[in-house]
Amino acid sequence: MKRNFITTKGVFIMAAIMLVIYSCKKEIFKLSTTSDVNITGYLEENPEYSMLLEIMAKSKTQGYLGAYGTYTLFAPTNTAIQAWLTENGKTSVNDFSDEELLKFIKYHVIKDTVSTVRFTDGKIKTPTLFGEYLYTDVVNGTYRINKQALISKSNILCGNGVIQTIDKVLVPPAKNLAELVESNPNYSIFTEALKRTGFYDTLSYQRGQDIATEKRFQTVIVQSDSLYHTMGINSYDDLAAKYSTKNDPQNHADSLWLYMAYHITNDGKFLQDIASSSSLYTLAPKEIISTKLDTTKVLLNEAVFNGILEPGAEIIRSKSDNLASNGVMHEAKDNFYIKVRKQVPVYFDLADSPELIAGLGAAYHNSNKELMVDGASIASSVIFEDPTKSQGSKYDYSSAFDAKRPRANGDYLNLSMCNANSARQKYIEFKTPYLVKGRYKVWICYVQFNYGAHLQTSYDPGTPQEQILPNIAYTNLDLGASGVNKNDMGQPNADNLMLAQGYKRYMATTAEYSANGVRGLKPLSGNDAVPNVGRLAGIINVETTDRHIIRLTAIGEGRCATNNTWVDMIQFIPADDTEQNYPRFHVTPGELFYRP
Amino acid sequence: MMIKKIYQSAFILLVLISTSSCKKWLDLQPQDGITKQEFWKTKEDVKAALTGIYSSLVGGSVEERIFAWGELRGDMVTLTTYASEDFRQVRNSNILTTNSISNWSSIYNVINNCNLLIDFAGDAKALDPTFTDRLYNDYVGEALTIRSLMYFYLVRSFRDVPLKLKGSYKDTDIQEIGKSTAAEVIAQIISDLNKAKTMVPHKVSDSDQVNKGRITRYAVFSLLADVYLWNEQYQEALTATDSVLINPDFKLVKGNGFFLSVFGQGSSSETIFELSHQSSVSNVFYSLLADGRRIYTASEYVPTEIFPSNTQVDVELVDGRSNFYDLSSTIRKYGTDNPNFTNFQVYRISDVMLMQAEALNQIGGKQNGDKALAILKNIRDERGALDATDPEITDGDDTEGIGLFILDERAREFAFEGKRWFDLLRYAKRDNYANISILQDLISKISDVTVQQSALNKIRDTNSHYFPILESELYADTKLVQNPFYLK
Repeated sequence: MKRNFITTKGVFIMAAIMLVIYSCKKEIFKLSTTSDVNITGYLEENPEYSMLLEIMAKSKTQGYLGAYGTYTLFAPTNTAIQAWLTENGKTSVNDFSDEELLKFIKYHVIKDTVSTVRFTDGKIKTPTLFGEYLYTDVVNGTYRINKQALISKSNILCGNGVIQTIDKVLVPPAKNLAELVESNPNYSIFTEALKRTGFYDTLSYQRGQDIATEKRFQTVIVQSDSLYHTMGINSYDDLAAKYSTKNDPQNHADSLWLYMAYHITNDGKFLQDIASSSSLYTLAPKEIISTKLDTTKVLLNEAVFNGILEPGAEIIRSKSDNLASNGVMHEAKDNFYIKVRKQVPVYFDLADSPELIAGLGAAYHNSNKELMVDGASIASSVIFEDPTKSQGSKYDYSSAFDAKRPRANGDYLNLSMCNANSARQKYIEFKTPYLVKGRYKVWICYVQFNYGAHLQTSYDPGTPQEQILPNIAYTNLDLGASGVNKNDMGQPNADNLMLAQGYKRYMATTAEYSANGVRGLKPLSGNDAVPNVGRLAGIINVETTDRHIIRLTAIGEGRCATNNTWVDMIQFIPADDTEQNYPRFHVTPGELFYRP
Repeated sequence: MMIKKIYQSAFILLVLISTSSCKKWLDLQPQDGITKQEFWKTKEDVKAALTGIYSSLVGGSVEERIFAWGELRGDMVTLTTYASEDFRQVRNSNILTTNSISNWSSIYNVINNCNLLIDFAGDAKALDPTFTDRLYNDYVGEALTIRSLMYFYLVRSFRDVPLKLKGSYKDTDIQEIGKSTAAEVIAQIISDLNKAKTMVPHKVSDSDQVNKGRITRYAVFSLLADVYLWNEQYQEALTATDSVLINPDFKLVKGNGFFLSVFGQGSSSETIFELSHQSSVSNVFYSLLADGRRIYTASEYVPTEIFPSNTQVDVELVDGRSNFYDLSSTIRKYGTDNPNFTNFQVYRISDVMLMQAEALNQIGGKQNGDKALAILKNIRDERGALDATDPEITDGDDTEGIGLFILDERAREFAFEGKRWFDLLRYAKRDNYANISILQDLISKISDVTVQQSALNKIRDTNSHYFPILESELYADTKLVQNPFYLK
């Protein structure tokens, strides 16, 4: 009995203790990783998408968008779908075939999560399941898709992707590029020219048609009749009279064919793509259109040639970015055409490219400025193998009248290059000024120093046009390497002998005077005559008139060290030009010395 | 008997264990704040609370916000690869409601500290007979001014914000108050500042460092002038600037000593109010601007448009203010030391001078325009401004030209001081957005090529000039309404 009592009391106490312990409750934590519903689940919770759900049910895509994955659904509301039905003369979604509804869903789904922060002024980079791209822009502060539908609620996050609610149904463009151009009565001259040259067929495409991938999307830049009228061209015949040289517009050598080909490029490019690339490859073989963004204007073929600014043709934004089933159509404000240019020599002072001058800013014409800052080059025209390597390369200016090692226009690049070294560049690339197509002799002009690298020159490396030039510029060797003795360099035939060996002087000698009456600095012979070397690297064949890349690669086991390779200029002189020696240069910027 | 003993000791043991298992059981003090009865007892307590307000200002997150809100959308800084995606999206006008740049919690933290002092300093005064009226007014006035300063940043960055004027010291104090319109917030600021201007003394200490690190009457007037300018009340702004400029102790530091004295050492004769870091709390600017992993550098427009060099004559001359960035675009205004104790300049005399010029110019008339030009000339002469940046305006009637001149001069004078975007926005929104085109020019410069057109379109919507309310704030206060621009 007593034992029993104790036990009962004990149980009671224990129970009380338990109560005390549990009187302080722990917080309840959510144990599941997410409570987000999937796309289908979200649509089911919100009645404004009931018609979309019907379409998904009929096209059997409900499960697809309910399963895990990464999708973006552009979800039209019931109002939007109702309007679409009315437009098509239907009363319910059941009036469409399952096949049509499947296409509908496919055009509204991207297999990727695309939130509005990834929208640009162009296409969404991933195509829809339908196989075509959607175009985005902004009107009145709201995102718009395909210039049709406004986003009314953006970035609804679901377990398997994103929903963008739209106020209109997205309909794939009905017309192909050819039809789109033809449908505008103000493009009649251009349309006729497309037909006569055969490009009308190039721009035609029917969905389902078998076509090479690179031709699936195309871009055409049209010119309006109004523009042609201002040029005195009132009909196709006038255009043909102006451009057709062989009277056979289908002939690929006829200028009219080339003119039209020059208005078409493969790949669908919106204005944003055009503005952010520097050139467009057209259907005219080896002919490119250079492009430029001037604050907000997109300009075609605006370039400085031979120091003269050639104004470009502007693209009319309001009449551009027109979507077709197989690409994009833009309209140009001005006539643009393939310019027939004469080859001109280009004397490229590496330290004076416009990009480098901009990158240097106030440091231009200062001494010893690093070209790599924060692991990146300061100029897009100077491209390092690895800009994070520790040993720097410099821009250097000195106005000193140094007879032994002057620099053209006062400045050169002081590089750290080595063949195999973790701290120095194996190669450095330079973006050239515009080179008109044709063959050029390439002269590497350097200032000799005993620890300079051995440089091999290549043209457009990594592209199908790559050319590796045969002669090495040994920047540790002076003009004596030509076989002409330094003491004989004053002899009348010395320049010709050196030229025959692929060497030349590029700095003006004391025997020469500039147009301004400035006398050259370099002695004709002796020790001070030889350290400024022009070395013929070889001949390049430039196939497209454009800016190209020249790469200088350090090869062999030269005694290379930090800041010991001094490169001044690269000269591109037409291969057939008999004048390879002049003009010569001077420390003072801009002084030129022509053959006396 | 034995068993009973065992039970008893087990019972005691268990009680001990169970009571210690939960610390809340016997503690009657609130877990979520200071007991106000225990704290607000003497004037020293109030002084400590005031010190707390100042230290919450210099902790880093406030200055980081001020800098981001004031510079990120402007054209004078650019981002390095170390900046997060949120920063980039602000520059591309692609701001989502989850963008962390619009987190205002550090600002409201300061506001709450001010509110507590304003609410309870009276309690301490009732208990502490040595707590004089003069001291009470000073402390409360300083808190009112700092609260106004914080609201002024908020109203310029978000436009409509919750106007919280009561302190929260326990969870139940937190109430959903929704947001007030910008006009209401500004009206509150103006009324608070007009109260504070009679409460705060001209001088709180004999030490310059203390005077400039704390709110004085001159700081109140400077802020008041700034608020009036924002609110397009030019006559009032003019009067407020006069109340500061009347003191001859504030003067421009001349010549080459300018950089070192105003920024390097701080508390110079130019400074009216600064956030003081002197040998106490290091500032956030080393990591933002000078560290290898810095976020901001000077933009390409600083050397080309803000500080272009002379092209014709005296090419070697430089503007004394262009030393604040170096050739690798590193911003050096706050030094490059680590740790960094450079003070953050909130108001300098040149700011008040240029505010006065702006007020005069907006009031209009040839005489006022000429006075504005004279102020500009004075500052430019002291700083060694270059001819290249002189628009050579001689006609005091050229209100538009002088207005733009002042905007440009402010860019040079207050480069990287967290003022550029606010200056641009004030200029753009004046007279019912008469100058919105300046923001369009700005966008075409700072946004990526790929989104330029979208960004240009968005900037036409004036709602987009203000940040969204962070999504998590909307959950915390269900009465808050999102800025309509961010609803779609």
